[in-house]
Amino acid sequence: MFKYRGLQLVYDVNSGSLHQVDDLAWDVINLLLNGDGRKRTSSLLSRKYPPGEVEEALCQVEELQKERLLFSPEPQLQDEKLSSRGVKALCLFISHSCNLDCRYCFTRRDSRGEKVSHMTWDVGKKAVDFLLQYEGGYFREIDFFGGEPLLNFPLIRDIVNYAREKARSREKEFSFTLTTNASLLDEQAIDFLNREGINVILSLDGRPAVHDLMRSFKNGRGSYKATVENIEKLLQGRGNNNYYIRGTYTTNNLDFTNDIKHILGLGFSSLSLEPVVSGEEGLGLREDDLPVLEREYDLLVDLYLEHKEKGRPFQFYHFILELEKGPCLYKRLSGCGAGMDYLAVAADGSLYPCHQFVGMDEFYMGNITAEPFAFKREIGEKLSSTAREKEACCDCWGRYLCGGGCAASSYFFSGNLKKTYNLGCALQKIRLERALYLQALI
Amino acid sequence: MQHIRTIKKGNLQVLEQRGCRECQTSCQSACKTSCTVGNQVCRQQEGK
Repeated sequence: MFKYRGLQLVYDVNSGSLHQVDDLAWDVINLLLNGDGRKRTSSLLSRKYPPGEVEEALCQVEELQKERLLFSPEPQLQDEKLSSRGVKALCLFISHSCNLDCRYCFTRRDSRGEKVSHMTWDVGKKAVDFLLQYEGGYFREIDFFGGEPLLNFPLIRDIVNYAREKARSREKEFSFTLTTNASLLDEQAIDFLNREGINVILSLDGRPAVHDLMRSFKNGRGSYKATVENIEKLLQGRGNNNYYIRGTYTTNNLDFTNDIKHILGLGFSSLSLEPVVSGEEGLGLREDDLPVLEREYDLLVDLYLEHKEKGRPFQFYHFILELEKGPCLYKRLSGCGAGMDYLAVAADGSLYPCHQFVGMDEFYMGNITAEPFAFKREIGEKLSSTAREKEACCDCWGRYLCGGGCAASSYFFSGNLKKTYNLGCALQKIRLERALYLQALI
Repeated sequence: MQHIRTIKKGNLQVLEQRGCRECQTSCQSACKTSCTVGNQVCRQQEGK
């Protein structure tokens, strides 16, 4: 239950339903939640409201309870569905090298020491074969990642062509994503990405000064100009579809709504701005920053509504909610699926539970080129704590919306995969409350 | 008088047994550093 800008909203965690209530229903639900029974609730509230109306509100609550839309029971699941039946998604480090030197890049986190810079065709081909080994399901996913994957563009092209050809005979379908800094997008790459319908995640932080301070070329020159020019060319060729502008905010731009305004001003309308999770000292967010950040997300709500009203809506990744057609409980409990449904492959073929663990010996799962091929599934299973297994999630109203949080953040910030990253959780709840509010308005 | 307006009827109580795993892996879609599942659409529900 929460109040936001004059609306009183009740989110039923176990059904995912959202209700708007008046003062009386707010009080009724509050008392019932606190363990006061029907009789006591009725008696207590009849001193404040007309008894007939209290009865009416209680009946409405009971009706919703019968429909399992309020006070609904914990949803049940067959446990075996939480165990992996095969890997369906891979994040490929096409190149560990990068032409930029971003100050918050998580591949700088430790001495990673990858032995190979560019992925070879042998590794790429085996990654596709690995995804097709699993016979279940229809969809397969590959994200081209790095470093900067466009430094090894020919391999991307070869993998896409090979995967599409192999998928046809297996009656599977691949979807591809490219995560890129965009500075190396040339005509050849743009044509290919647009022709093949490859989703792109394009790194752009916002205002030129903000972007350039964090995202410079190796010689120290800012990358803003090249990035924006190339993104414009790329998006023109795809009807402005299938993309996300993905920025990062740090302590340097806690006023990140101004960066979002700038991105919108460039004509880009599908975006995600994420809190920094690593980088140089001084860039990381602190609990003390939360009040400022909360106000900033309020400003973003204003901006969101203003654009909607003017007929120029934009998509902010963390304000999207699918309450009626959202994923099933299995998905909501297993979160990102790292280590189970989803693995990362380093350029030399080494397997890790996700892209943030690449290069860390304790998370090494095997090598995709080994013959006979085998990998340590148990390493991945360590990450598979569901939202029900984490203590902090059990009491959290947002557990079925966030899926239990990022395993890498848990590990890097709390040193324990079964714990949560408290600051990340606080930000997630701030965003979710605003996303729910927007559901009530729109 | 109506004291409660249901804005969205969630599907968690009806989809609980599904688990087909065909939806997009959430980290592949945009964030790469956080986890969000509530913004995804169930592929079996798309277009319905």
